Amino acid sequence: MIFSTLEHILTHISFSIVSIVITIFFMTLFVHEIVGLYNSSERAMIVTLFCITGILVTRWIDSGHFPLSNLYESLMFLSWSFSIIHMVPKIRNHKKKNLFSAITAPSAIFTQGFVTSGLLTEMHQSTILVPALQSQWLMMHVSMMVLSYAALLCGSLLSVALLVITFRKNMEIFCQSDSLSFLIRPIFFDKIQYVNEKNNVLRNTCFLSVQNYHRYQLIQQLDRWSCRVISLGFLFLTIGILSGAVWANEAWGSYWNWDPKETWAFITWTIFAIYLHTRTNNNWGSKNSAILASTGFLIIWICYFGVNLLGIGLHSYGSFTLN
Amino acid sequence: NSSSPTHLQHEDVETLVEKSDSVQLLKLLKKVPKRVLGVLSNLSLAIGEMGSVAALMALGTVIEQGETPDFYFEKYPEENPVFGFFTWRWVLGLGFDHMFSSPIFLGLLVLLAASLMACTYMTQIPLVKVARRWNYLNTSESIRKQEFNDSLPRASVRDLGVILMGAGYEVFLKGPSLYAFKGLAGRFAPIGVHLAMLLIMAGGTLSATGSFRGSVTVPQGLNFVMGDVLNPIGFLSTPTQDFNTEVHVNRFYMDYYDSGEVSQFHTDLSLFDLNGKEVTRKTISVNDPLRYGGITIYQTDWSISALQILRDDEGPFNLPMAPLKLSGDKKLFGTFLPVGNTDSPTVKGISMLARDLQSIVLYDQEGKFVGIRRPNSKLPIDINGMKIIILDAIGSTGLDLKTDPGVPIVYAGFGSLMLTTCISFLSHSQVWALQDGTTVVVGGKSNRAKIEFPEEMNRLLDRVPELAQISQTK
Amino acid sequence: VESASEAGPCEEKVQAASDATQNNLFPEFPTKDINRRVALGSSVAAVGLFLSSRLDFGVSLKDLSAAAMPYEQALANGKPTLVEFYADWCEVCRELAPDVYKVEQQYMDRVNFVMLNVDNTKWEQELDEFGVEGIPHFAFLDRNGNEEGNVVGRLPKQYLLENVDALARGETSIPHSRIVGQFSSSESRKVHGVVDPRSHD
Ligand code: HEM
Repeated sequence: MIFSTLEHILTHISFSIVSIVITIFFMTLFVHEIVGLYNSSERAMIVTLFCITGILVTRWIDSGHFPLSNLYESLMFLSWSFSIIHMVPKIRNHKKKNLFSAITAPSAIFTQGFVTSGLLTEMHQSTILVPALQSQWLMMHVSMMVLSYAALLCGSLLSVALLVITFRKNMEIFCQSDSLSFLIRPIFFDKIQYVNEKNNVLRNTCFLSVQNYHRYQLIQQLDRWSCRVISLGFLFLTIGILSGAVWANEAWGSYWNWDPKETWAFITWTIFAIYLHTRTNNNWGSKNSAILASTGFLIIWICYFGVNLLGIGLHSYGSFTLN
Repeated sequence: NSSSPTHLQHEDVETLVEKSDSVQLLKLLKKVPKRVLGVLSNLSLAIGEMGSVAALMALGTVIEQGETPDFYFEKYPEENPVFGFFTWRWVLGLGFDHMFSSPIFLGLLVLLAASLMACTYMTQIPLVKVARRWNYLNTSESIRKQEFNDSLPRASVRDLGVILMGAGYEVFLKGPSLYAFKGLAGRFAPIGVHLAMLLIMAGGTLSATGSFRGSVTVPQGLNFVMGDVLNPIGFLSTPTQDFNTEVHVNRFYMDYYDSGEVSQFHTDLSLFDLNGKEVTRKTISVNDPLRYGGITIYQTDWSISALQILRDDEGPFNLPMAPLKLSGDKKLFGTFLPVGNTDSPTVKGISMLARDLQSIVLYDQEGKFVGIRRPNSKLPIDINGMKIIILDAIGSTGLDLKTDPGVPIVYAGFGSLMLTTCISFLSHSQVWALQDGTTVVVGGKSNRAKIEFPEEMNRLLDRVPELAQISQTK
Repeated sequence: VESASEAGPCEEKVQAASDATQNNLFPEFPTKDINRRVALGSSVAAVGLFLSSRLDFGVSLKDLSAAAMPYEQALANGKPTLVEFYADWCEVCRELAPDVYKVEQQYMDRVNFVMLNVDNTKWEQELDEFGVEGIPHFAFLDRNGNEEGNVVGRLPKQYLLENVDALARGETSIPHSRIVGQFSSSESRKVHGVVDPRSHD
């Protein structure tokens, strides 16, 4: 009894924190920037991580099975993965990760907000596990899949950011307006200051070329980071799909039935394998591979959500073997 | 005279033979494999193949698979084509109704496999050879072109080599040039990835052509012989001695949660060989199959076979239960106990319906609801003057049998794919150095550790001792 | 001069200068900020605790059914029995659970306590037999298994206590019977059919 109460408390706390962070974010974006609150959002992310971990652990203890058996639990796990991916660079003490955080932190916050909001209350209850899911493979397969989705989503969002920056002509919005500056400013602060100090006279004329140089650097960084994250996500996706195939063989006798969920996971894997291959060939350029990774974003959502939603509408959602 | 124009000289014969068509054809044929390999190992082609495989798979999930032709006539009519051109002719003609075994899909997979083989042969294996040649960079400019570069004003390339060796690099020195690398595995992993893919494809092909499969629904207490149930799938399927084993279903039961959902299905099986000796006995459940002699038995379905009742304390009678069709996939079984004159054409009786093994609903001769009974409660019920006691509901278990020779190969492919993909994530770093007078020019690159590599190099270079006495080296 | 052999797909295409100036992600935080964070954190925790205090503390239906006795065993051991028909989705059952638990603890050795989930098809015979139309439905059985009376819906703890006490003392009738309080209709039971063994939704 105490564990379900604890889980309830943690859900409320995490929702409150998430609401506050989103409020701060939108305030900063549209109204006025408060520089001091940047650190608050970092602290909030750490607290959210602890809350989500607590929720998952108490759910595990309360229901007796690994908390990944329905959509609610897997979304919770997804937001936990986003938080972990957000935290990892900080642990390894890479200082220049503001770019990365700009993608992972909002993802974690929005996913967690969606999960703990009132939209999914009917799934909150701990459910029983159907016979087919009572296996040790559940832990490995589904957790790897959700982790890979989180990593690949981050990577493809970074590619989307890269495309956005490539296609933006004016750099004004980055250097002067308040909108994204509480995320981006720490990168450019020193450089702009340096330029200002050095060359006050030519400031206006040099500004544009300095802007272009920074933009170029930003694109390079985004490119590198998206490639790294997508490689990691690809590794997890490979392990997830293969462990799923082995599990299917143990449970139902066939390691690959072409049912929609498995097929779409394989399609996602193929798309990102193509992405990795376009990067080995230098002629393709970073822009084209970024476009590819952005389509990967859509495909992951189809794979994760779309298949479940469509499966309700279609006639018979079942598995068909190769016969 | 020897140089008579009418006699052909040896050289003339040779040139004549060279120019003749058959020889030209032979030369062309020898070039073809090389050309084909060259075309197949083109990366863009491979990317195109992967893309079209993905597109076909997506199409296969959108179009319903395995339906009757009438279904496609209805869904994709010619009068009103989808997207303006897609009719049932496309679907049935190209084999999209069984997309994942259609010739177009399988052909693409074969092409992909050929590309993989060609690519591994043409580009990856030469890569291994190249890696073995320690490629020194002999000019300062080429070293300065590297990702990371630095120069040490008063140092010796030998000292640098010692420091690098201490940091785990393999160092090679030739005169003033130095080459060092760390993490060789990271370079060869892509080859492993492609070979693992080929292994998986080979295993999958073997599964598709050499396995046996079968399903059977067996009431509790009965048996069957494996060979009767298993059907060959492809042309390589050959039965084994173990196919003569007899399987006996001792008991089939379901575990429930408090709220009535099924927690697990269990079947207690005994296997007997040709002599009637019991060779193995196991209770299988959904994630826990029985393996014997290459054949695996899975729990995949269930059914109700009969109701055992006492009528007016006589019996027990076994009434067979028949499945009644309902919408959706919830099952309903029913049986009928005739009352009165069984020869008359309009015979009436008591109907008993069951959704599971736990409760039976009874209706009288007029079809009116009378009551519900749980089989093991032994509570009698009075219908139309008869006293009925339901003793037991006997279930049947649905089993899937399978033997698959490709599974070990596919598992080996899975394991190596996981391993090599992990390894390809490791970093592989290379360092070059050149002694240029008293300066050592250092350059390096790494395939993964973009951030850590410059930091590590800076740390190592700091440790290189500065030479006090400058000795000219040429 | 042969250039270096290929590296992985994340290789950097252009030479980049080593990034010298790094911005400090965690600058010296002023104490004001810590205070602000502490205030925020504690107010959030207070809100969370306030919300949680409106939830049910104590016994849950799961605890009750874990402590209950199997039905067949209860009928066979010669003691009077209290049978409660409940469901997981029934609000009133959840609210009455702590009271039932206390009574159970008090009379455990003299009276059997049985919990039957109405969603379970196993108890359909009993649902029919006892005429259960609303839950929670409390049926009071004597030591031979005959029904002495029943109560449906929300009832004060006193009534329950007195009824169980009457059972324990072996009386042939219970003081409070045929009382109907606020209940949920048993028509809204959620009967789960047998799941397909292969279904993994
Ligand atoms: C089913 C088809 C294929 C799959 C799943 C596949 C998968 C992969 C993977 C996972 C990598 C490793 C990437 C890395 O380690 O970062 C890789 C590397 C590579 N693949 Fe493929 N590949 C396929 C087909 C091909 C084909 C047909 C070619 C040649 C035309 C090819 C050329 C390469 C090359 C050159 C690399 C090396 C990149 C590097 O060194 O990292 N691949 N492939």
